[in-house]
Amino acid sequence: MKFQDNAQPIFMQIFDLICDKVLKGEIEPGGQITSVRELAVELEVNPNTVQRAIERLLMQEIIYSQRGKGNFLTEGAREAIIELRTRRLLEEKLPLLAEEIKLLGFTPEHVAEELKKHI
Amino acid sequence: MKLERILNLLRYDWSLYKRNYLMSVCIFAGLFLIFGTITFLWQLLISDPVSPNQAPAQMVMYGANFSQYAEIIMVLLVTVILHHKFTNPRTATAYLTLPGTTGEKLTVMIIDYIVGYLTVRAIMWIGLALYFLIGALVAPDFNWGGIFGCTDPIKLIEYMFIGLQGTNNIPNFSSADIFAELDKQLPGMSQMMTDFLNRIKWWGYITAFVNLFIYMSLNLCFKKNGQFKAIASYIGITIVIMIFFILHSALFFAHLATSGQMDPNAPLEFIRSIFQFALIYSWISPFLCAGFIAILHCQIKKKQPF
Amino acid sequence: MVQIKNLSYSYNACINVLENITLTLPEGHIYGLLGRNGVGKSTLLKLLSGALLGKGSYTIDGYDPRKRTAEMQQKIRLVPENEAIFQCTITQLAKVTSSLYPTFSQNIFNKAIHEFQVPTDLMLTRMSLGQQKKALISLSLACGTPYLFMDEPTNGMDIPSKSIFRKLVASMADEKKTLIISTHQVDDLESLIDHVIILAPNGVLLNASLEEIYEKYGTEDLKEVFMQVTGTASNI
Repeated sequence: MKFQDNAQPIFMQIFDLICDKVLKGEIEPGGQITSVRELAVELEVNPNTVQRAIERLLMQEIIYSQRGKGNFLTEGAREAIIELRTRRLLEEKLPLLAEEIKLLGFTPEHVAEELKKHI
Repeated sequence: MKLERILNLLRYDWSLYKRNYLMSVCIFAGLFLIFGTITFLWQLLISDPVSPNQAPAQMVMYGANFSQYAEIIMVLLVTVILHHKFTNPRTATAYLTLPGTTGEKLTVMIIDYIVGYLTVRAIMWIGLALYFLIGALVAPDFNWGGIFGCTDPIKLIEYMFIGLQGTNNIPNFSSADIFAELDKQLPGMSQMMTDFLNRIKWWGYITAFVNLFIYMSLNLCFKKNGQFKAIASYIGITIVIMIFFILHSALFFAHLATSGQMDPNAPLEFIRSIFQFALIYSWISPFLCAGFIAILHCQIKKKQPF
Repeated sequence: MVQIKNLSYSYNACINVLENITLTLPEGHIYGLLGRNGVGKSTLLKLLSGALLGKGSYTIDGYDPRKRTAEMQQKIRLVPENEAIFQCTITQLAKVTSSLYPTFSQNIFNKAIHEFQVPTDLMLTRMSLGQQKKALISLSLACGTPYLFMDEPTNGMDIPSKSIFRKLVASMADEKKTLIISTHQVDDLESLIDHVIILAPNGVLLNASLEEIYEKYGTEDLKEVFMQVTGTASNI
């Protein structure tokens, strides 16, 4: 996996990667998350960094840990993720997009039309 | 010091340097064959032997002379291969960080040198044996039995290893015809030499190994110019000893000249004093050996690849 | 744990390559050792592995590398930038090297050689530089030492091999292993590094974990951090 420069720290990108998988339905509630070691090898990342992502997921209660067995997706994780991501979209990404739109002189209506083509 | 680790380090050396070693053996054997053959044929075909009895003994002396020079070349060859691991920065880094105490690595180095040294002695031994066998076939009327007729295998090996003592002398003097001539000039000379050499025989072997350690420690000096300085100082010490020796001889002969007479025993006395000097050196040599091993130990301990 | 206090080193009597180096490196991390050309990164790794003898106080797990005890050397493996290339195959070299490291793993060696596609029957002297590098890295990874110091490991590797290298390191890194990787190829190794050391001619400019860096510089992008740290301080 290629990590983008000037973007978020790698552990956040891993966090988002797992969240993406949940949102796409690739992991069910109660389903097991890939182990730290396997993820590290697959993503070519320091296991400590993967661990940071896992810790954040645990902190946000998106996953829970079963001693000796691994990490599993909590019930309601999907909803929690949607809430997180929506907040990020509205608080971080949208204002940036709005800046760009203003700079180029587009109207929100024009943007909405273009957006409809993608969704 | 662990024996197992020493063996593992030896196996490491062998695996990595075996090609260099075998190639050097072939080169050395080849050179020895070529130059030894030339020397041998010269003696056999061109020069004028005093008698068929003496020719084989003379050839042994030529062989011993040749083997002395060969030994110097051999030691240089062996040291170039073996100290490569310390003077080449890459191999030095690899070797210094390899698990093993300084004592173990030193032991391995000593064994490496001994193996190299014995290899070359073996090549020269085989070469000399071959020459005599060929000689016996080519010139059967020479007294080869005088050498090969020797029934004591230890003595025979000694004949072949005379180069080890750094002298041209054959142990069994009194029976060799060539020294009958010498005895006429210097009465009792051959007996004296036999006695002396029997005494220092084993010290002679130790002296040879001391020389080896001198080469080893010289080659282990830190930097290239350090090696140069070390070798230069070794040559310097040798020159100083030689100058001292020449002065001693000059004074001795001056004394003889001023005292107005040439005592027929004078040369004998002179030669006696040379042997005494050599005897003293052979007594010091074990201590020199110990000293150089100590230097080697420190060198390896402080060794850094540059 | 690596503890260094006031380490300095000079190749000749005049100029100090390293000066005033003080670092404490807990185990279980992959340290990225960065710095401008000639600042002494390779020298530091050689000092820590005992190849060079420096001034000051430095220990690894309480042992002084200058003593060069066999016990300590079995725990440290140095992969220099330019390694000695011997006249033998990598299999032969592995056989004799493995007997000297009690932690050697034949499995890891075989796996690494296989993944890197290193020819096992070819003399090292006949391989390309890249193949030699991969062969020797496979050997060093397989030694399984708790301390592994690598100097520019990905130099000369093709892009697929760099990926394989990252996977191999990711698979063997754990809380008992400490890796210090000196590099200019920050792009190649950024994802593996979780702790950054930046050296300067007269001391340490930075010694921090990624978390600490994020707090201080607002980014974990190592190239940016490097430029910020070395740009704003031409010397300490």
